[in-house]
Amino acid sequence: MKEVELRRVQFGYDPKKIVLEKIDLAIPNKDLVAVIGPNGGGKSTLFRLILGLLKPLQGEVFIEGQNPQIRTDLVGYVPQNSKSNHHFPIRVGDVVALGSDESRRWGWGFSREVRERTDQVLEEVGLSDFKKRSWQALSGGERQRVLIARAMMSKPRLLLLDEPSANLDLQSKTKLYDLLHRVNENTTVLVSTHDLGLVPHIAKSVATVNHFLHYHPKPEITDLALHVMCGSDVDHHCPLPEMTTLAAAS
Amino acid sequence: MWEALQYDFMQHALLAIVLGSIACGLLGSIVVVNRMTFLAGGISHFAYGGVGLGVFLGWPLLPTTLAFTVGGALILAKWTQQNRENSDRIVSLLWAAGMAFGVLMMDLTPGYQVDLGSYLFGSILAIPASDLFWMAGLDCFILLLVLGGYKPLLAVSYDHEYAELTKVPVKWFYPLVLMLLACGVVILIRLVGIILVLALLTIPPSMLEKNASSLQQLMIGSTLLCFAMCLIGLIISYYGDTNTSAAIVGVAIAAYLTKTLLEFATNRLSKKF
Repeated sequence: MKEVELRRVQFGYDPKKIVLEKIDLAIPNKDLVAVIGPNGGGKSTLFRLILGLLKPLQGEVFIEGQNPQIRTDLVGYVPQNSKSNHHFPIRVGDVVALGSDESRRWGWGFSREVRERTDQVLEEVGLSDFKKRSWQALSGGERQRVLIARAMMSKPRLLLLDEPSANLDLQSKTKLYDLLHRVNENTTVLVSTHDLGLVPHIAKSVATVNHFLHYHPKPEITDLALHVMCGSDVDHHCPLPEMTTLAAAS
Repeated sequence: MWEALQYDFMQHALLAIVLGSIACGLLGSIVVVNRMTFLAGGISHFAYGGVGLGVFLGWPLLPTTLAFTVGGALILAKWTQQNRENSDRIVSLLWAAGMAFGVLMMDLTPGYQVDLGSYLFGSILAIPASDLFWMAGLDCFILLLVLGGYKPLLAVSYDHEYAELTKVPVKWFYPLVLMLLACGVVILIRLVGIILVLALLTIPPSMLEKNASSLQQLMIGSTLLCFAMCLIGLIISYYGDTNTSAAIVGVAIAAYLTKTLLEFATNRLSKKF
């Protein structure tokens, strides 16, 4: 059974303006997929469909053969770090604990089991000393790792990361991708990224999204992927020059 | 000052400060971290309609204002949730409508005698025991819901989208917080009045937000800071023979400006050396 399956999925926020069309995707277990595509091409929408936050207009989405709207615990999600409130008064331990299902239960504090699981995942992401630290005092790279730890609280089978390397320096990016490779030993990972030059180093396969989707089971950006990215039927700026520059820079 | 504590009105004022500080600390922290200050302003001004209605109908003012404000807060929650892009206009509309309705009701009341200023700017030295019971009851209600529902409140405040993903009942958050705010506003009307409520709700948590390491810490710190500001304001007004609410808000604003200036000076000095 495939970890993630999308069958003939079609979606638009307005049924007259379709964002994603005829999406067929089957991602095998423990794959590490780089999801690339221009801004507005539908990467975030694809993630929201897999997370079960959006319902397709047509077609079906399965995670391990189950509906993601029902089995939310199967998927962990790491949103863009730049979207989080950097001034929010919260400790690292509490951010991670919010990834457990206890966050929706009545009560003032988290249980001992959740605290122990928090220690465990913080150790896995290399932040075991950070539990009592304030979120406000962390660097961008540390915040990203905390958000990965939060996503891992429910022991997900699939982890989605939305542009995790945005606004990170090279050292933080390296640490992040090392962590993703470790996580990938037990978990299927989908990473949306603009770091096209890094795709061959971080991913096992590539999914190109721009209204349509092209999946390539190797970490290469094929001519067909480029065709999908610069598709003539979609009114988007072709990102080809940017890609070439990034690849050359890396 | 100590002699004044023998009088009932001063004991009531002190008790009102304690009760008001609890509401301010808990709700103000939620308002500030969720950037809902404008909404809080809308609800506090809408409450004036409830005061006017109570006066016009001759009903007890605090329960009438509470029912009116909670009703308005729930309408506001529903309306703004359906029209997020226009939420600022909706808040402005309710803000003005509540005030206008209150003034009209007062005008239409035959033989109107109520001191308008005591609701707009508070009357901390004239709080009857019955109002204190209402304030204590509302405080218990706020404490129960905020402390009991702390984890979902924290989850939604910190990351709305992720909370939705983990099945936290996000759609209840907004109406619940606005309803609690309505209760808090009613508690604070007697303390500092409709116009000045916003200052007490937002200044203490805004001062502490950057230094607090948890929402719990921010709530406790804001409660204590609000209590200190109210007490100093009360003492100043006692010796200076001035309006107590204005003195309390004056102390709060002076503290906020002092902190901002000190931070600015420290930053400049640290850059220089």
